[in-house]
Amino acid sequence: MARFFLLVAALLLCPAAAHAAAPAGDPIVVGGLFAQSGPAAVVGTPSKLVAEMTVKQINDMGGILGRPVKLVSYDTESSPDVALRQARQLVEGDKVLAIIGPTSTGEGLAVKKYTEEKHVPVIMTVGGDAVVAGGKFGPYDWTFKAPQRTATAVAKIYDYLKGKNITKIAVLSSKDAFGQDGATELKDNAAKYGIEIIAEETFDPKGTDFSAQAFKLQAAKPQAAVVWTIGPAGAIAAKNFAALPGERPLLVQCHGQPGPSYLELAGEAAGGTVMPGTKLMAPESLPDEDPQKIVIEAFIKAYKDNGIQEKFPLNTHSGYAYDALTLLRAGLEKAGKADPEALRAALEKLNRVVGVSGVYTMSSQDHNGLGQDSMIMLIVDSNRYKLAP
Amino acid sequence: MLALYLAQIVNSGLALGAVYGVMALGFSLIFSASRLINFAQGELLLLGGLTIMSLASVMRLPPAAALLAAAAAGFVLGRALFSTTLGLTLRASPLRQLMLTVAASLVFQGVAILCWGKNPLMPPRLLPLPDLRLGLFFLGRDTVTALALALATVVVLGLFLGRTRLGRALRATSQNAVAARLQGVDTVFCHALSFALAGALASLAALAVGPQTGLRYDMGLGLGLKGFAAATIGGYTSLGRVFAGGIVLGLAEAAMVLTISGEFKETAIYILVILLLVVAPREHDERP
Repeated sequence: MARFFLLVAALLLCPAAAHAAAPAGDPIVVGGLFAQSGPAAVVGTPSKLVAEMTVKQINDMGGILGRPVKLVSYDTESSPDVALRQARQLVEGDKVLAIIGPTSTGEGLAVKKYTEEKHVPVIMTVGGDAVVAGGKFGPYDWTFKAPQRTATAVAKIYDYLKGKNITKIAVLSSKDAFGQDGATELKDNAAKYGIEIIAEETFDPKGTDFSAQAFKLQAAKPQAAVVWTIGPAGAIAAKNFAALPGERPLLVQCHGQPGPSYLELAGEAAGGTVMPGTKLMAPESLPDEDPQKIVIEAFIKAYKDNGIQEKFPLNTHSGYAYDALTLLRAGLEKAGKADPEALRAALEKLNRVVGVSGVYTMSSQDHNGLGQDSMIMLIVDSNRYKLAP
Repeated sequence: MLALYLAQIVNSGLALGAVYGVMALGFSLIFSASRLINFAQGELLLLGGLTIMSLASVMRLPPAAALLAAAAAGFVLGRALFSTTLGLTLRASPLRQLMLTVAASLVFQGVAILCWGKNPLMPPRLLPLPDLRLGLFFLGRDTVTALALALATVVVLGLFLGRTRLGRALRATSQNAVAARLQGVDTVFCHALSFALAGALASLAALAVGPQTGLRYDMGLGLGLKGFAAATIGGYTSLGRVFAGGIVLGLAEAAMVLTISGEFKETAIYILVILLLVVAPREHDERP
């Protein structure tokens, strides 16, 4: 329903689209930066496919402001340098109005410095908060991000732990930008929730065994251990914890893990681990009045119909590119013209835009717009994700 | 508590070291026959593992058949690697030969992406070795598998290199290719054989490493780098010592994590490798 209203509102806002079903005129050129190779390719490649699918949907429904949307995308190779070079190409060569992506936090930081200078609106699909954190990471007037903030995931985890009367935790994080972002947020927010981090370790995300770190953390006798990493390393850590003798802490993974890969790679060791995820991971658990329900169901259907499911089974990251484009469309329609400054101002004022990952309400301070209510706590039970009790 | 920590150093050290050790054996086989560092060693493991995984999904592979299939697949892969790298540039400068193996590693990654996609894949456990728990000591079944495979390899390859005519030819090639040729040894065949054997070894290692970490197209470099460091510590020439080099590296890493922190582990390990290269250079200079 919400989506329908959004569409009606959109149609009312732009008379051109209301009169002509097919978009006409010069296309609105949108740049896409996706890691299609390198370590982040597992997330970046399906992101690109989802972006293409969404652009097609938008054009089938009359485009934006009556104009068709054209996506020009490049492979960032998971490298900040390459991502920056391609952002330049998009802005100076392809003359894009706005950019969606890149995929990894490191890439995002490299791109942001340039696009802030050039006044190009960018809606990122990166996990880390640094891109919209301000402070030592620089201004973020032109930068937005679609996935939940790390801080949101941390708050979700801490709330859950508090509900279980868990106050002593250990943190195991990977040594990359994503892991360190998580470790910092976990440390900064612990006191607020009455939680104490009693031990902390890091690991190389390309490593093959983290049993030494797991043992050291277990030796400190925490009630829960929080693992913060993306990709197969999370599953290896789960297996290492599961192999420890004696009493094991509750294993908590971060919001980067939910997806079929984790279940497959960790096998039995995944059982009983909890983690925050987007509602995409347990659509059947959503009540009918949840505004996201209809959007998520339509998204999952399109994801399957377009054949993406076969190659990249749905995971918690699958909706980010869709959300970035949905935000872009809502922003342009609010702005009423395809102008970067107007788009930027409109994006900041977006109110209750329903996406796959949550309901977005932005402000000049909050360039993400998602709250804790956009996430659910999941538990792995007999090799499936379920709503954690 | 101290005993627990020491036991854990052994547990984690062996889990890490067994993987480094089997990788190092592959490096040393090719290095000793051809004086070449094979940068595609990790990718041999990757492709070998993926091939066996696909084979296991269409037919039942009992342990003996799995071993045989892995060895055969790896043998072919290694031989193919030789044909496309050293085999083409036997007279070229070592730098060009080296760059070709780097190129081969990237091509292999591309093949892995094209045929198996970008998602990490979990191969089935084909060798039914159990977890090993002895008091404080615990070795996961993948570690037990890796150790068993490595020990078997060291023994079998040791016998082959020391006791057979072909093995002696291989060693002669490694010590002085020109002299070996003058004695009637087909040195090109020996080079090719060393690549094929290294491929078979990597493929067998995949039976242990695959179920431990999963197989993903970009895993080769991480494994290769550690295997290379282990082979350097072991000195490349003796198989036993090379494998021990892997175990030492694994133990050192685990000890670092448990006593200080994982934070400076990599830095400390490579400083150790540099020191070893400086302090014990004779090991690497004994041949012309």
